[in-house]
Amino acid sequence: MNKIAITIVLAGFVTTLAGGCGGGASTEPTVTIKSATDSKVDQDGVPGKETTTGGTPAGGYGTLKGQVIIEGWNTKLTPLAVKGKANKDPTVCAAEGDIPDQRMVVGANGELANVFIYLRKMPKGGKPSGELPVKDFDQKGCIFLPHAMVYQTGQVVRVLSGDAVPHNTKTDPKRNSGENFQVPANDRDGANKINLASGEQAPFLVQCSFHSWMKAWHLVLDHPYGAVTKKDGTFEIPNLPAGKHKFRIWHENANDSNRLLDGGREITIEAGDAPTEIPTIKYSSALFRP
Amino acid sequence: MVSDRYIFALFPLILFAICGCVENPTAEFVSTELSQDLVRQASRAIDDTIDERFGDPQNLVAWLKLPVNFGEIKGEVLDGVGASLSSVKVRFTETPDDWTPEELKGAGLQWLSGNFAGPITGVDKRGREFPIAFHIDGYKPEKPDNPNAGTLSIDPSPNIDQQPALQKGDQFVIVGHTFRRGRKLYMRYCMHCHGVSGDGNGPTAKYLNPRPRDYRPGLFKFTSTGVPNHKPNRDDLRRIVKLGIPGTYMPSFMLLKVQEADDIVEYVRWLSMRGQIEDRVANEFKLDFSKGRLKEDSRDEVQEEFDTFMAEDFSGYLNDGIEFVVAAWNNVADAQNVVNPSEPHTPSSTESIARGRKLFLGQDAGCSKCHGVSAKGNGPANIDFNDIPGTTTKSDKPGLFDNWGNIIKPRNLTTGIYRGGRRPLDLYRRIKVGIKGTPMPSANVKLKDSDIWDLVNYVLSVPFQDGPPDTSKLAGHSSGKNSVAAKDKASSSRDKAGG
Repeated sequence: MNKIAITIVLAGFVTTLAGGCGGGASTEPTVTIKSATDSKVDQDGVPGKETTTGGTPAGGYGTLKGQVIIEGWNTKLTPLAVKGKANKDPTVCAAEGDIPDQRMVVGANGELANVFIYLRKMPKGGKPSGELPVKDFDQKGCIFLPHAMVYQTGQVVRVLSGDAVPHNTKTDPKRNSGENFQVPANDRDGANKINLASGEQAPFLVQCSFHSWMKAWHLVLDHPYGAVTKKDGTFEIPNLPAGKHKFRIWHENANDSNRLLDGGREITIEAGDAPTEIPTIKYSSALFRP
Repeated sequence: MVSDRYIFALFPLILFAICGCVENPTAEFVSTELSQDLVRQASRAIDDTIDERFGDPQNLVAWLKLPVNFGEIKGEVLDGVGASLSSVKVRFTETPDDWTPEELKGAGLQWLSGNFAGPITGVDKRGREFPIAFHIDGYKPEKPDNPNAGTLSIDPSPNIDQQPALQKGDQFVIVGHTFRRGRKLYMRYCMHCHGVSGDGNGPTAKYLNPRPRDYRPGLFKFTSTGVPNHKPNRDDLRRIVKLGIPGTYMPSFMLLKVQEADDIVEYVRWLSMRGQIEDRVANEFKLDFSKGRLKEDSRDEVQEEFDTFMAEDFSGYLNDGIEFVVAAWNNVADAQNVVNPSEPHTPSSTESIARGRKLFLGQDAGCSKCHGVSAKGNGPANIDFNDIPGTTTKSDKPGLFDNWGNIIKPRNLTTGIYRGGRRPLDLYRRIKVGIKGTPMPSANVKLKDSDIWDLVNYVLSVPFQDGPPDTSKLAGHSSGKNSVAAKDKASSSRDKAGG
């Protein structure tokens, strides 16, 4: 009797399993045809790429100059590798000095480096750059040089290496295809190049997988209006059409999607040879990850 | 006692009867995780954008912009003037090889000529216009031996009081019968691991390691294609469906009919395009419309900025994103984008294996950095505790991350299990162009194809070796600074890899 009972129990389970609940496999979907032309988009054109370049704007052009300072930052970040003691390729990596944690590069008076300041899109009256010089993205002692850089769509970036070990460069952009290529040891010619077609919304991460502490941030824009703060926290963006502009300010270690100012900081540019110098941009340490 | 047992025995059946399939949930596409951090307007805009172009699992949208074969059957009306749409005598003029009359039910229909050609709108009770989409309600062949002529029932038999509605010779195309088949097969065979939306998060997924592929980033590891997009072509996906992925939970579906596998492949490509476009759209909002905004700015300010963004920029960004995704998938359809070696496979020999091994351990190929000198997948690149992607929190497990945010181990090459296929050509491609979405980079551009073939021969020999090959007799092989090679020389070794 017991056996029969168990058989029935099992049969019950098996029926449940075999009959299944289909997961939607048994429902009959319908198909609606949507034509290839997306009428909405076609009518609206492509406003994201506003390139009204009809000569000099009424107000002329000006240069923006400024400085970024962080207040109350006392954290001393431990180096990612101590000189001579890298856990990989120690004869090359950290051979000549510590590998610093470049998440926060802060000067003696709080000057904050590696802050990206840029316009979201080409402004009205903006001047596209002429021929774009080739830029170099280097690595030495298993540190990316520079840690943060801005370039433009169509601008060639040579990936170099001054290290006697292979590296790889893995990029993770959002509007372009990511890449991951090996960089030959001591490649001073740039066998690999980065050349991106679409401007990005925000900087993207560049990594080396062989030496996973190696990180850098690249921003590609489809216009020339972007800069990264230097070690002294200063930045300069030339040739801005006079008038109001909203700037995006971005830092890799900032909380909340890395933005430092929502919606952008509005700055009015005065035309002329004297640059528009804005008051120092100050941020509290609370805005950054510890 | 006996009756107790019966009740006990019946319990699961009763439970099943009560809970059973009554609760069978309707399958839904899950919104991207990215939209959870966005303000409500933004996540709604993403959902609307995607729903309009892709529909839901019950009401699929065959968007003809996408490079997807939805399945097409062309035909013409045989009836005279004024035929009703609920019973139309038709003749099919272009049909695929493999179709059955029953599976037309639910497919979409578009008029290519006649009164219904072009966008047709109806008017609802409140007087608003809405687009009318035609579906097949049923199809009955006139004679069993000739499925190409019969009576088509079209839904809706619309309240379009145009007379005459249909005319003899009106052309139409039925779209989506294979698309529907693909959806049904996907839900039967794939959904349990890969999820309804192809997010790699089906009900079984959390028990699996490696995790099932999340198609939405549009990254596929084992492709025959290379730069710039590495999207798999149809052959690559077909191969994975048919052969499975050794060493993972992806089984072989060898028993599927050719047509069935093809239908699944098209559906997976479609899911991936859907995911990519959704991801792309969500990323456009990420920086400006995250929930964090509401802590700093008022709702009205955010709303105003959102409205401006939608009016001025959104459609442009969306269009760019769509074109990008479509171009990438179109690109791989081109046979020129298949990666093929410029010279034939070097036959495996002790010399070739030794050269490959030297490259494997050396600085030019750098394989051992991740795969280890013993090729067990335990190289020095795996020892660090890295930040969890997108955060500054250290992971509690050492190792590199893949693009899906999982820790990934370099392949242990001593097992002889090759996920992307074991043909020398498969290994050549893995080395030459790398593995998308993983730390495995494309090869050093200074390596020649002959070098890569040497590496392939070495990798294929690894599982059969007790020790490294005896290279002491080879001319021109110097241990140099390579201490590992020097050490290996001393050890007694046999090479069984010959044949």
